[in-house]
Amino acid sequence: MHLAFIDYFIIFLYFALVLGVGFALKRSTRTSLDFFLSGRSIPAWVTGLAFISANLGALELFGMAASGAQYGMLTSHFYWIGAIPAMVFIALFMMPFYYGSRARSVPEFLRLRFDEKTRLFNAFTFALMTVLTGGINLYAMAIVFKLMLGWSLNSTILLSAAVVLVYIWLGGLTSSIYNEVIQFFLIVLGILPVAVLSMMNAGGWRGLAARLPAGDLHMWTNLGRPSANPMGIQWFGLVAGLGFVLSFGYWCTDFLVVQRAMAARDMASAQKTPLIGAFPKVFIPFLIIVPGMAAWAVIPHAEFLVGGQTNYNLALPLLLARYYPAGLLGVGITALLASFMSGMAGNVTAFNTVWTYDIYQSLFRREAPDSHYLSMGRAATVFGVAISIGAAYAAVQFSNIMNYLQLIFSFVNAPLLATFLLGMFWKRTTSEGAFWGLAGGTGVGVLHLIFTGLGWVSYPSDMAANFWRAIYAFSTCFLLTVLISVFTTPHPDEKLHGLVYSLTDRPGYRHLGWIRRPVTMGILVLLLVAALNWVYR
Amino acid sequence: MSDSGQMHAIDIRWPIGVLFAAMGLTLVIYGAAEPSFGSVVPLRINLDVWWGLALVLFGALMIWGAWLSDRRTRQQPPDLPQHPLQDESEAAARKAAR
Repeated sequence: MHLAFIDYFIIFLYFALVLGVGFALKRSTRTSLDFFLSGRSIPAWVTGLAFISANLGALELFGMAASGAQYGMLTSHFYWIGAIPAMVFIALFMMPFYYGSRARSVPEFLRLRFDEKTRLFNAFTFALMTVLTGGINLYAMAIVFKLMLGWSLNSTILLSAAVVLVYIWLGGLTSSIYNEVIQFFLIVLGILPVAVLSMMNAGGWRGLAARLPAGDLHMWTNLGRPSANPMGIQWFGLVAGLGFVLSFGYWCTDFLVVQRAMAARDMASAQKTPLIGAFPKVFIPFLIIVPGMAAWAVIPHAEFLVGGQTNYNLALPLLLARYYPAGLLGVGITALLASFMSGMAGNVTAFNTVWTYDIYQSLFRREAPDSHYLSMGRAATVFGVAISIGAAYAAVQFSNIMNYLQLIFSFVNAPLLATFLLGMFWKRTTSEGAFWGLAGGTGVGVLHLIFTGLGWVSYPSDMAANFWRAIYAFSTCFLLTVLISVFTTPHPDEKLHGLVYSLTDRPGYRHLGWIRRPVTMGILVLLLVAALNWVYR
Repeated sequence: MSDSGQMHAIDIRWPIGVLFAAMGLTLVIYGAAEPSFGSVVPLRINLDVWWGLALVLFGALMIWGAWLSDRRTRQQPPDLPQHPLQDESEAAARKAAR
């Protein structure tokens, strides 16, 4: 693929605008709350788009298009069962506690509900996870642009990290959220033409059906046995592992996404944040997965070969190269660049918040003027970015270690989900139960990973292993927490107001028209997803 | 107050509108100067020009929305309610920072 001058000009427009927005936001970033939580003042449609955009990184784009080419419509499970139900759940049932408790982060909620050690456990694993994920993002970006366009690894890593650093330094979370929303529109408007053209080329859905293996067009028909579908999964592992543990674990407890809702300006906006995100999320498979299927249907399979092996990750770049003239190609490449950079920015903003509020303020300086924490947040941005750059170079050297780390992160949230569900819905849950349950669940996840790595336990596919690892980690945490809680002393009821379901007043929305109430929106999006699952069964 | 897009800093619709209008305009001019119809594109149209126009339209809508909402807030400024959940410590922090 070759970029013309015009394509570079379009990329330049984007960089100029992003930095300009950072400078414009600097004036309004005065307190630590402005920096870390956008002063809790952002309207719901913006936080809603940022909520899904934080998860719509470029790795996701490449991976989902690749998975579409390889597995077909089965990939849509990652959206329709692996995201939407969890987004509705966090909106309706968990947001009243997250937002209502006035916690500034997910670990801080754990301190309010349980104690300091559970908070620190989560703060440290989460902080480590974010800087390393930011690094993996940078690394992946550098590799992709080297392969596609021949850009040097150093210049891609350093230039994009510098841009991300500058705009977060200036505008904090607001900068990050603004960029996520800009990225959302860039992806939709940058990829839409390729989605339409590739489908026209393939002859629409009928054409796809004629050109692809029959199983590629179904989501549920072949899930009776792992051997009946190319993913090697079975319906129970899918529903319990992906649909419940992994998806609820990620969408309901990961501070990276929850932070967007915490920046909303009132409870109604906070509750609507995941719901507003859910509606576009429902349609993203048509933008990414279906074109991936079309790529496999229309592009000669020889073009997917790298060193004699089929590389499905080429689906999206091949589509862009095939359909886009100079100019539009610049828009497509800008969309990819933007999503890599905002993926990293999301990690850095979540890191600087957790570092400052949950680690630094908790362990080092409890009482300091607000301006001190603001400076610490900016400093954390610098070293967060620096560690990410280091991690990116480590990944260049030892890509296997990074793959392994990514696997570990894939279940960090699974046991945490059990801690949250018990903490929010069972007032008897104790601090001791929560901490040891969480530690035990995480430990079982790590052990399971080692056992599968050594071949002591085996699964039909890596994906099936991931689903089951999450199920085991979650169940261990759940059982241990319940067991230990029964034998230890719970917090008194008066300390749990606003933190536990049975002791908290539900927010009332009688003043809102029925169509604007969170419950209605949640039911509508669930019906939509049920209908799509039926259509593509 | 409804979700008007009004924020404590700049309305996000300004940067989105400006970016897409500028990108779209670039595409239209470039596409008109160097028309390319692609070899495998199923539609025989000048993609740069047409998609450029679509981007310009989208950008213009965003700018229009931002402009309308700016005008609305300028007409009725100070008595807007504060963020309902802004508690005392936050208010104090803000005051100190000013």
